[in-house]
Amino acid sequence: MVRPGTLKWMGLVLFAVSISSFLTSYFIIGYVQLSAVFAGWLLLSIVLLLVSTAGGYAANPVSLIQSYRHVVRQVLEEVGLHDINPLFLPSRISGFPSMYISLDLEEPPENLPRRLFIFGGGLGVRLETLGSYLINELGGVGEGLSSAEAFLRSSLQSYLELVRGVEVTEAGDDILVKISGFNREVVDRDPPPVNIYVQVAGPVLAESLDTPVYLRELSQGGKHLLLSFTMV
Amino acid sequence: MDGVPRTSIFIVSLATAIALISTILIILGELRLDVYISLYILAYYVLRALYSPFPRAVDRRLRISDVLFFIVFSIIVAYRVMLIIAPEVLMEWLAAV
Repeated sequence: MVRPGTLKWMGLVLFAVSISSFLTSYFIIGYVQLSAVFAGWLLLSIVLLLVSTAGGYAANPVSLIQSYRHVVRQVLEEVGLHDINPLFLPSRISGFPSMYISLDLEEPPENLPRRLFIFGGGLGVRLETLGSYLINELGGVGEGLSSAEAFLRSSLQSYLELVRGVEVTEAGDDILVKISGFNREVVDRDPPPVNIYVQVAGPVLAESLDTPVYLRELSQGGKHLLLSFTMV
Repeated sequence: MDGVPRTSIFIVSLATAIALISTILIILGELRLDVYISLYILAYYVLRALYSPFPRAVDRRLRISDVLFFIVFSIIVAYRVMLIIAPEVLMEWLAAV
């Protein structure tokens, strides 16, 4: 991978060479075809310079996500809830879009306190996931499934560059999220509550529909991940 | 091409497109510089749409080139239109410049 600094220097050198060569070939030598080639270089150098100076953070923070997954897995394994399908709550219920995992999920909880461990009936874990923070970071998600799909595209595909495509469809009572071209480095046979795509899609769906959604099934087929949610 | 950022694929595609356009037009014996430049700009916009969405920071930067290339393209189009509808006025302007 070429470092952004190197790319900037390459852009600068190409810009200097192409602009001087263009001016020389057009105004002094008077050779149009040669000038056209240098004009192409000039255009490319402008794009290269602009792209190389675009922000200093990693576009694809895979290592950060891996460390985050590790922490979530450890917490859930510690309390024996790592293989329970999670419930996702909108901010209306829990103050902030959240993931709630508990053995006792007959009734969706109401007005959950903003704490990690919830005691009442059985032990529950309430986590503000990556998806919850993306909703906050990217300025919220609109109402309806089409807004959820647009948000998942802009966050997973464009912002984090972790997928090639996202489709959200309704199938009876279920909401299906089909993620194509997902990054295997950030999944690695994770159980449902640790799976990063579940953690992003869940809060987004819950928030856009303004109702709790339960992950019914997580399946993988070839290059696709299929997440099946049910409204509670 | 898993793992290669879209931005890198965009830059490589743009370089390839520019090389192809200039090679083909030179072989065809094209001598109008504005034809080359307008086709480069057209290729830029096509690839920009094809590889969108880009990360937000890159997208913000590329908006600068979007505007810049649009201005250049508009000047080329205006020049060609003036050349057809009022060549004598255009020649007067160019002589004044």
